[in-house]
Amino acid sequence: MDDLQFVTAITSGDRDAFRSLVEREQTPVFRTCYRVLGRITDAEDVTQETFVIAYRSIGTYRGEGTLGAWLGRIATRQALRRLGQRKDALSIDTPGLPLGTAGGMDPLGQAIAAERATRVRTAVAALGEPYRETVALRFFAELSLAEIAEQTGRPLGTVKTHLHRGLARLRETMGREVAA
Amino acid sequence: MSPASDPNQLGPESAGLDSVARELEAFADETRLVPSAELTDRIIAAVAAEPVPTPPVTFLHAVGALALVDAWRAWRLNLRLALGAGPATGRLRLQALAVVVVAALLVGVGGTTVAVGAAQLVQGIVTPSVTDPDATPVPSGLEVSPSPSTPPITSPDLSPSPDPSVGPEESDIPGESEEPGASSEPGASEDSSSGSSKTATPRPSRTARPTETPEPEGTEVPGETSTPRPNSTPKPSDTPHPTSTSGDSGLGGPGGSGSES
Repeated sequence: MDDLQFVTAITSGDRDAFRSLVEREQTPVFRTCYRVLGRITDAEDVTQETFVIAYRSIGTYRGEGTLGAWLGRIATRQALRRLGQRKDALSIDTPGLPLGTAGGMDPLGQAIAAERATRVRTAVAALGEPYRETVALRFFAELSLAEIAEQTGRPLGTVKTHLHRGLARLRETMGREVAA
Repeated sequence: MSPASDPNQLGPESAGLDSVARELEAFADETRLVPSAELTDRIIAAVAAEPVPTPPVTFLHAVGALALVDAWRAWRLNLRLALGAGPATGRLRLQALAVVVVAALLVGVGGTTVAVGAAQLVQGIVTPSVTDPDATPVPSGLEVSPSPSTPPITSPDLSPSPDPSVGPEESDIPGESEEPGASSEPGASEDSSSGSSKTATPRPSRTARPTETPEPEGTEVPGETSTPRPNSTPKPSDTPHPTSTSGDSGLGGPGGSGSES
């Protein structure tokens, strides 16, 4: 079943079709939310919100890009919004990576990965818009530049510019953190 | 995985940003988590309470969320559905048609209201000159109201009638300032005498009876008899005047009698 068939079935009231869509897309959506938020519980909450919003507004999906990219943008926006609602999350209680999830790492590797996760997440969260959204869509939701352009409605050149500037600011921020 | 660090994507000037891009990709690789098994059931349970996302429902959700772009898309979706595009039941097409019509009406009414309000706001800046003439007829209407006995005659003839009655004689005698008051009220006094029911105006005329035999003098100029009546609220001032001199001095006393005599 392709994306438009999913949409047609769901808008016709086929709950099983929606369940199939959830099973297919929940993992990338959950990962996107987790990369932004850094907490599994928050990521699951936002994943649920994302699918509820998608269910309500799936009639507006017109086949521009894949359903996965469409869901990825909803998830990114919801996660960034949640992140803005709990500004203290990254300052005190940032868990980095859950232990044992970074496949087969030794404790030292896990500690390094957790430190990197905290640094990256903090730096991306500190970016201004539209750079934050573009970087998050590119590296957290793992969308291509063309998909970002489709989902945001911006020209491809603009997306490239935003991503370039976002990365440049990240380099400054992360360089300062490393130097500190 | 993703070619984010590919310099060809961002152009040659992004070469210095490779390290940042690689670090972000490494972060993404390290966070390839799998959600818990209950997440699917949680999502389905959360969605179970939602109505089927038909185009009308989608439109209402978009309006409720103040998502104008989504609302516009959903409205067009409803329009296509109402026009017969795509497979749908007749009931769903009717719902879509209702959404299209109601939304169009609301937008139309709202736009018209805003336009009319803006036009009135613009006119309100110009109208202050118009409000003055609105204020002046109010007292004139109050004066005319006691004389409804004459209205069929006077109301159309109000403007000409004062002119012949007062014009030639009183304009000279009492002076210009009291002309308008005299022109309207004398008609009322005469009507009250001839007619039956005028409570306020006959009372001063009775007070004038003993004092004023000169009322016949007043009959010379009916407008003058009336002019004291608005001034007659200070009744004591009326009584002394006739004692001293005849009605003319008493009537126009403070203003023009001395100067005229």
